[in-house]
Amino acid sequence: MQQLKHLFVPDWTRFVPGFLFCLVFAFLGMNLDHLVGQYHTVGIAWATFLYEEAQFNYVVILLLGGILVRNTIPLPKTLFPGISIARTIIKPGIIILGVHYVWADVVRVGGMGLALTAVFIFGTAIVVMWLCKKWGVSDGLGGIMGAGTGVCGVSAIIATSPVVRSSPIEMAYAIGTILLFGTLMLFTMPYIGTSINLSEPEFGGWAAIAILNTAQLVAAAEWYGTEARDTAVLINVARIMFLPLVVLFSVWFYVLRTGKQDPDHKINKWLLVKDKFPIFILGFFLLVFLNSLNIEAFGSPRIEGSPFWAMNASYTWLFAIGFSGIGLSISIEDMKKAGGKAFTIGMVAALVKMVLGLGVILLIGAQWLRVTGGN
Amino acid sequence: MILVCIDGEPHSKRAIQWAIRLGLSLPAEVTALHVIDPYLKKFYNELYSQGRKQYLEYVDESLQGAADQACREFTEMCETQGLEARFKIRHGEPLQEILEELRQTLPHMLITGGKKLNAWGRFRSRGLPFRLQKKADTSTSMLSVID
Repeated sequence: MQQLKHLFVPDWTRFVPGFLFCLVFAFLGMNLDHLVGQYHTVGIAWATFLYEEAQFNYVVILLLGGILVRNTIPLPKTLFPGISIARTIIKPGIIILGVHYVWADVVRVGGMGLALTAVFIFGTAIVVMWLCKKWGVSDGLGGIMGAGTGVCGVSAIIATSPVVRSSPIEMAYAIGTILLFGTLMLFTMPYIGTSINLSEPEFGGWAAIAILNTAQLVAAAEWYGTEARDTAVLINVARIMFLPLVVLFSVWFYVLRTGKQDPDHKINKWLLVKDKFPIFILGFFLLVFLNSLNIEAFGSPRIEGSPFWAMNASYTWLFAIGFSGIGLSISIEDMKKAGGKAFTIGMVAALVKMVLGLGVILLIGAQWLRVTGGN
Repeated sequence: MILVCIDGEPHSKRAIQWAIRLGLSLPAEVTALHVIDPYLKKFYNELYSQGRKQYLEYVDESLQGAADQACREFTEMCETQGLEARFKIRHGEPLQEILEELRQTLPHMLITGGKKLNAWGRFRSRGLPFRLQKKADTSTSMLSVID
């Protein structure tokens, strides 16, 4: 019993109400999606409009529903800790998605993703930091905006802010800006993609390099379609692998290069890379490896009743709980904190990445971005 | 007693100057209140965030640093003018904490600083001094110093 206790954080009970709330919310959202689908099948006009024209599915129901609930109903504060951890349930969902890929996909799409990431993600970080320095923006703000617009939004700000010593007001501006533009991109890019007939793999690639925040990126791609999600998740994995390197670059750019390192607190670069490395992607690659071996006992997502099929069946629910957490966490009050120079930097970076990213994706074409899963 | 709310921003200095001037002329006891808002901590569980512990520690450290800085500035300004004053810190959502402080200490006057805001600025901040005026007990006089 004593050993079991160590598996839980001391105050784990505070997460229970909000997490249960997200479970119920996800259940209702999934069933609403199912209901609209059924009405659409039997030819009810409003359901067909929602399904075909407005592209409503469980993702948008949970996100929009969550935003609506969060910003109109005064939720009890006891729910917030649980809602906050529900978002991270997407992570096991992403690990499970490893069964959708084989090494050939990782080499082709992931390789292309690495190249795109290197140019766009790392390029954005370097250009933003350099321009901020040139225009006299403080190191604290330039560092987190470079990492935030370049790599993975708020997650990158969290990783970088202690390194570049951002002030609380700079962090609030930067987080607000990333959330604002990430959310705007989430709700506009799928409609832009549809209006210009972008294929699913192309949209997945575009979302993975353009959308500023990772949670919104996964949601937009899942919303667009399964092929878009598979491409986006793989390129996104390549993208977050750059996080430790971008933090390391920030250390060099703002601290080591300028000789600002405190001699009493020498920065351990290896420890820094280790701390910022997203370990969960190893789980993703383990499943890609197992799927590539084609072991009969594991089956595949397409063989009903097999272990990989069962895992694949559960990912939608993990995503649904995560999207409930994302929707219920999107507060207009948070986005209203966007401002100052962070707003201008974020807006320019978002627009440039959207336009250039679309151009590059159209040049590459769907062929290089499609995940085959061994088919 | 005069309660002056400060956040370390330039407009707070104008509010402090008014509080000192009134404190000396009335005379009245002056207390400065700085609220440490833990708002930034709620993002630590962001998807893919790494180094959560370091982030939380850093947020605590930088918020405390901002409070210390505000305290130093306030104390220096009061000492220069020859006024003895108190400095107080509360933790939580600023509006709620200021209202709680008003309920507990019942000051005669509350002074806040503010910036001249355009329409977008007013929408963003929802005007803390304005919200305070709406929600606070009417027995406390309120003075909002706009920079």
